[in-house]
Amino acid sequence: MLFHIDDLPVYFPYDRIYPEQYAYMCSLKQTLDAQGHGVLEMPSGTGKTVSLLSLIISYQQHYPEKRKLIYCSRTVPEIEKALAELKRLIEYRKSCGLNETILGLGLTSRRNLCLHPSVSKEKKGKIVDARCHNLTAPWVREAAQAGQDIETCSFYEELERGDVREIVPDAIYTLDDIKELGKAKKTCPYYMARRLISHANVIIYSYHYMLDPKIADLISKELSKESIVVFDEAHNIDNVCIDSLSLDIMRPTLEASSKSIAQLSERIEQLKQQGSEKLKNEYEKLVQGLQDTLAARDEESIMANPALPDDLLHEAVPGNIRKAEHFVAFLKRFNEYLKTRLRVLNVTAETPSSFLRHLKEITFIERKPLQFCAERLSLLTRTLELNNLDDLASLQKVAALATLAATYDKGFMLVLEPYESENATVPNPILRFACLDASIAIKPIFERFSSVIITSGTLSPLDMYPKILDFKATVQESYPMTLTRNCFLPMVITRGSDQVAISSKFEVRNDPAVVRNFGNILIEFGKVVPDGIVAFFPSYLYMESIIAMWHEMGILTEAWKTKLIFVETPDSAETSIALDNYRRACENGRGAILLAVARGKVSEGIDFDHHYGRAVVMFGIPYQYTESRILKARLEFLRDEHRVRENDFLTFDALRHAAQCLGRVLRGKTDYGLMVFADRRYARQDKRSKLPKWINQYITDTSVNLSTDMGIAIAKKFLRSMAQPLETQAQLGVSLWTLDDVLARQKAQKEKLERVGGVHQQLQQQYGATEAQRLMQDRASGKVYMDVD
Amino acid sequence: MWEAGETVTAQGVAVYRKRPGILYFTNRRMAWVPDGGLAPTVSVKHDEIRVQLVSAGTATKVTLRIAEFKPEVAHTFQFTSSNAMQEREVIKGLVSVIIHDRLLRASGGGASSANGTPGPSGGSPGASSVMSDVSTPGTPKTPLQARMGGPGPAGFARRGLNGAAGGVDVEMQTRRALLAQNRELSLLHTELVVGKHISENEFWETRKSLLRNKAAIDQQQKGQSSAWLDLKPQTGESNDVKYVMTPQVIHSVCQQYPSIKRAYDQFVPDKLSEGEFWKRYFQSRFFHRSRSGRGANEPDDEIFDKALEEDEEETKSAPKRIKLDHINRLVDLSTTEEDHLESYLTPDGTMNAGKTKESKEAMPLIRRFNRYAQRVLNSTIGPKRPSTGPESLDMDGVERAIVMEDLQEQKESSKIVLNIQDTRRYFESQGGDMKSSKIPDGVNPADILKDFYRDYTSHEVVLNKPFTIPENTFDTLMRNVKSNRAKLLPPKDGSQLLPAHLYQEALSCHAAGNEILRHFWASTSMDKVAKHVRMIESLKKIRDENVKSLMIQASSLGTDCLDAMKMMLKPMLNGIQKALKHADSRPKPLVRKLV
Repeated sequence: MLFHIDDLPVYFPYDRIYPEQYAYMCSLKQTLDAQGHGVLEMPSGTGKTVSLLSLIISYQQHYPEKRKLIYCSRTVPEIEKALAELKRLIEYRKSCGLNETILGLGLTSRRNLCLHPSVSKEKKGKIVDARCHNLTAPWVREAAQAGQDIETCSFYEELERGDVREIVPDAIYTLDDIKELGKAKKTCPYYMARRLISHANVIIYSYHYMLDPKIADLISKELSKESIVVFDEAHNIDNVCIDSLSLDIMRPTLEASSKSIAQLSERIEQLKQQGSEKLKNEYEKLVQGLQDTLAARDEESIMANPALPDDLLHEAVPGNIRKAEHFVAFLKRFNEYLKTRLRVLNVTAETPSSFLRHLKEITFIERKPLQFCAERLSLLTRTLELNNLDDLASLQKVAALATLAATYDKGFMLVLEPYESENATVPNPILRFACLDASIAIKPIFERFSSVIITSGTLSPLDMYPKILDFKATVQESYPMTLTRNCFLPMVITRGSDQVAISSKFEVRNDPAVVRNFGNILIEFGKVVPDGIVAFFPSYLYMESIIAMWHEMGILTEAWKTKLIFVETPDSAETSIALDNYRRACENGRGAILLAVARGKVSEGIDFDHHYGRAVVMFGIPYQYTESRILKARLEFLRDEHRVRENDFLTFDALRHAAQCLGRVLRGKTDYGLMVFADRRYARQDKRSKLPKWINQYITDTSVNLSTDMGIAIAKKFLRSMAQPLETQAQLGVSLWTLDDVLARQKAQKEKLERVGGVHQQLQQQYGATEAQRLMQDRASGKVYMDVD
Repeated sequence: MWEAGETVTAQGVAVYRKRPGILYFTNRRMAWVPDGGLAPTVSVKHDEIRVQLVSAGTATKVTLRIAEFKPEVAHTFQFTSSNAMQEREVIKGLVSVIIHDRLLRASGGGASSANGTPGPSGGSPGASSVMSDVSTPGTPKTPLQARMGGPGPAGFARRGLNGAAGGVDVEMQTRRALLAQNRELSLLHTELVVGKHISENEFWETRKSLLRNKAAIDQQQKGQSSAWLDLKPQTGESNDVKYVMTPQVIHSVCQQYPSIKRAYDQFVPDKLSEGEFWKRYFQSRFFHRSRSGRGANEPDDEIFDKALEEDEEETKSAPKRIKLDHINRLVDLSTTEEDHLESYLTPDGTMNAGKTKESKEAMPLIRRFNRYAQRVLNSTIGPKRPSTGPESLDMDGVERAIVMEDLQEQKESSKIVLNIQDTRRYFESQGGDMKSSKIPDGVNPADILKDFYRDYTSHEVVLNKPFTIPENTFDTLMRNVKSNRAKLLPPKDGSQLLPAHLYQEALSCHAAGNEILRHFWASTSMDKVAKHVRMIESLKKIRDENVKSLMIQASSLGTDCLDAMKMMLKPMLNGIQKALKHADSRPKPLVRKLV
C-alpha cells in the first residue's frame, strides 16, 4: 500500500498494516526529520524490520540527500532475513512503477563468503582470514607477478583486474546473491562487497562491524556523516560495546606471544643480513609521522588498532619504538612484565593508571610508546611481510592491552585473579582488562552520525539505554500490542503442584523439591502443548546440573515419552544440528522439547514462531553471575557515574534476556503461543515492571501467581481456544488496518491536532517554547496509540 | 567368499538374469554366485528379505522370487538342476522361517522374558538373564522396523495393498475387519448378501473407498516410540531379579547406544547367542555405569568394555567435523559465530559450559540425548539428505520466515459465477415478498414517518424506575411460544412410536431397499442386463415381502404406528415404484433374449 506520513510517500509492501507498524513509522520519521537519535521498542514479531526498511527507503529516495542506510543486526540469519525483506521491498517499489537505482548489500566474514576451493573448506573464521591473507597480501601478489612460484587467489586477482562498479549492477544482493555473483564472475565476493560499501545505498551487517574498533576501523571508516544508522535487536548492545574493548590474558597467551616475539626478531635479523631496504624505509616513514603511514595503509590489512583517538594519529611515533628491533625488545619487556604480574596469589584490582605507574617503576616503560603498540605491531608485520597471521593472535592481544591501558583511564579496570573460577583448585591465573563503560565504544558513532536508531522487541525500561550509552534520544517510544484475540498468554508459575515455591535463586536452585517442580512443569507442558516447546535456563552451568538431576530423578524419562528432547551445547555446529532436527520434529508433528540457555546462542536470533514453539518456558530469572568481580566493578561504575542502582541494573539485565527468550514465540498476529515465567520472583511488581510494555499489558491478575496444575489448566483452555480459526474480518480496523483505516486515522489525528492547537499556545506560556514543543510532540505521538487501544 | 562365521546351510543350482550359477542360503544372507565367479553378485541379508514368491508346483519353470525391503528390488532365480523342485523347497522353507521370525519379533506380543537366576548376594542382582523361547504372539501386526535401524521405512508402506502375498486374502481380511467394526454395515451386509439380493463382490464394489481407507490405516506405520529406555529389573520372589527383553527394548538399547548395536551386529548370532549377549550386557560395566554406587565390581568383559570406551569417546566432545551444508541456514549458528573476530573475553564461569566436574558428567548425557532424538526422528521420517545443486540455497526458507501472511489480502477463492439467463425474472422472484409490505393506498408515506418520529421522540424511558410488565403479557408470550413450537416440531415419527426392534428392522429394510435401488440404477446400461433383471426381482421381493411384513407388524400395534411406518418407508417405496415403472417401459425383447 502507499500512504503518506506528513508529506512523505511511504511504500509498504503489504495490503494491510498493523497499527504498531504505522505508529512505529511515524516515530521513525520524526527521528529522522529531527536528525536525532531514537530508542524504539516494538513488540516482537510484528514486522519491525519491514516497517523500518520501508520507511527509511521511502525517506531516502524521496529527499535529495539520499541518506545512506546502515542497518546493523545481530546474527547472520537475521542479516539474511533483513536482506530478503529489503529485496522484497525493492521489488514491490518497482512493481509500483518507481524507477530508481538502489544498491543494497550485506557483508559478512570471509568464512561465510569465500569461494576459493580449498580456503572455503575451513570452518574457522580466523583460519580463513589468515589463509586469505597469505594469498592476497600485496607482497605475495607482487612476488607472484614478478614470476615467483607463489600461490595467489584467482578470485581476488579477477577483482583486481576490473572495476567493481562495472561488474556489479545496481540491485539488492543478499549474502547468497553476492556469492552467486562472485561465482558467475569468478570474482571474490568478500572484497567485492567490501569495496561496494562506499557506493551502496543500503548496507546490512553485524553490529560488530560498527562497534568493534578492531573491525570498524577497516570497514566502516568511510561512511558519510549523513548516514542513518540502525541497530536492530539492540537490547544487548551495551554488552557488545563492552566486550569489544575488554580482553583476558592468561599464561598460554603470554607463552605464545613470547614465541611470536622471538619469531619477529629472527625475521628482522634475516632481513638485515639480506641487506633489505625495507626496515630502513619503514623507519624513515615513521620519523615523518604515523599519519602518512596510515594513508598508505592498504585495505588488505586485517590487523588493526583497537582504539586510537584521532588526535594521536597526527603525532609521530615515539622514537624508542621506531626501529624494528627496538620495538621488538620493547614488546618483550612488556610481555615479561605481564608474566611476572600473573604470578599472583591474591586477587588484585587496579585502575589502568596505577597499572601504568607500577609498570614504569619496574620496567621504565612510558605511557606514550605503549599507546602506539598495536598500531606499530601491525605496521611491523606488514614491513616484515609476515604470513600466517593467526599465529600472531596472542601477541596482538598483548599489544592491544598495551594500547588500551595506555589510552583510557576512566571506565576501565584491571583484575588479576589467581584462579579462573571460584571452585577451581589448580591455579590458572588470569588478567582481565575490563571495560566498564559501554558508552566508550559507541560514542564515536553517536558523535559521527546524525541519526542513530536503537530498536528491539525488548528495550524496557527505555530510559536505561540513553543512560548507559550516554546519549540524548530525540524520540523514545514503546508500543503496546493491539490484538483482536489474546494470541499469547504470559503466565507466572510461582510454585509447584505441591505448593513448594520455585525459584532459581542461588540458595534454593539445587534443592531437589525445586528441581522436581521445574521438571514437573516440563513434563506437564510436554503433555498438553502440541508441537514444539522451548525451555530456557539462566546459565549453562545450571542447565547442565539440572539435566543431570532430572535424569537421575527420572523426570526426563517421563518427558521423553511425549516429546523428543534436544539440548543446546557450547559447540555451535552441534547445536545447529540439534536445532535443525528440532524443527524437523516439529514439522513432522512428533513434537519436541528444546532445552537452551537464556544468554546462549539459541536465545539470540532463532525464531520459535508457529509450530516451532507453542510454549516457551523460562526456568528462573537469568541473572548474571553476581559474584563476578568484573560485574561488581561495572555495577559500581554504573552507580557512581549514571546513578543506576545495582539491583535495578541486574534486574533490568535479567529481564531483558528473559523477555527476549519469551518474545521469540510470536510472529504475526495469527500465531499464538504460551509464555511461561517459572519463578516465584516474577510475581513481584518490581520484576514485572521491567518487562516490555507489550508483554506486561497481557499479564493479568489471574495468571500471575499460579501453581503448576493451575497453569496447566489455563494453558489447556488457551490452546484449545487458539486452535480455532481466526477471522481476518474481526481483526480489520482493530489490530489490522487497511489503507482506509490508515487514512481515517490520519484525518482524525489531524483534526485533533487542530483542536489542540489552542492548547499549544497555552503550554507555551506556561513552560516556554521548547518544552511546549516536546510536550506537544509527545501528545501527538501518544495519541496515535491511545486511539488504537 | 564368505564372511567370518558364515556357514552355508542350503544351496541350489539356479539361473539369475540368464546367467547360470549357484544360489546359497547361509546363516546371514542369501547369495548367488555366477558360475566361475569368486564372490556373490547378489547378496540379500536376512533382514532385507521382505517377501518370497514361488512358482506354482505345476509350472514348467521352478522359480523363486525374493523381494527386498528396498522398494522395487527383487531377484528371480530359476532352479535348473534335476531336482530343482526339492532344492527350491528347502530354501523356501528356510526363508519363510526368517520372515516368520521377524514378524514375531516385531509384533509387540512377542515378549521374551529373561529369567534371572537368583543373584549370589544382594550385591550383584540381575547378573544373569537367559532368553527363553519366544512365546506365541498374538496376531502379527505390521512389522515395525526389521531389526534395529534396518532399512528405511519406505519398504513397509507398500506392503499389503500391492504386496503380492495373496492380494485376495488381504482384501478378504480387510472386509471382515470392516464388518466387525461397523455394525450398520454388517447389518446391511447380512440383509443384502446373506439375503441373496446382491453378491458379495457387488456389495463391496460400491464401497471401494472404505476398503482403501481401511487398508491405508492398517498399513500406516506407527513411529517408533521416543521413550527413553529405563531398564528396571523386576524383582520376583526369593530375591531373583529379572530383566525382560522385548524386541522394543532391544531396539531402544541399540538406538541409544550405537556402540552396543555395533557389538550386537558383530557378535550375534554367530559368536554369541542373543541370550548370552544380553546376559553379558547386564553384567557389564557398560550397563552399570549409569547406576550410582557401582564401582569396579563388574567383571572385565572385552566386548562391552570396548563398547563403553567407544561410547565415552563419542560423547566426550563435540564431533570435530560436522557438515552443516544441508541444514536450514536460518538455524546455522556457526555463521554468526564466525562472522566477526571472536571477542578477547572468556565468558564467566556460569556461561562457560563443560568446565566443571558436574558438567563433565552432564555433557555426554546431553550429547546422547541429541543423538538419540535424531536417530528416533530419522527412523520415522528418514534422514535428511543433503540436497544437491543450487537449490540447496533454499531461499524459500528465508521467504517463509519473513513474509507475514495476515498482512496480505487473502486472494478470494475463485468462485463460479452463477449464470442466470433472465436476470430480471430472477430478481423479481426474489423481491416477491416486498409486495406484502406495500403501503396501502391513500396513506402518505411521509405521514407514517412523521407519526413514527413523534412516537419516538415523545417516548420517555424512565430508567431509574423498575419496569413493570403486566402478568398477562407473559401468558400471551407463553402461549405463542408453545403454539409456535408445536407448529415447528414435526409429528412424532417412527423412532418414538415404534418399538425398538421394529424400528431397527424398518431402518435396515430401508437401507437395503436403497442399496438395491442404487444397484438397479447402476445396471441400466445394456451390458449389465442380467444384473438388471436380478435387481428388478429383488426390488419386487422387498416391496412384496419385507415391506409388507413390516406393515403388518406395525398395523397390529395401532394406526399411529402404521402411519409412522408408512411415512418412513414412503420415499423408498416411491423409489421402487419409479424403478419398476422404468423397468416396464424398457424394451423387453433384449431381456428375454438374454434370459
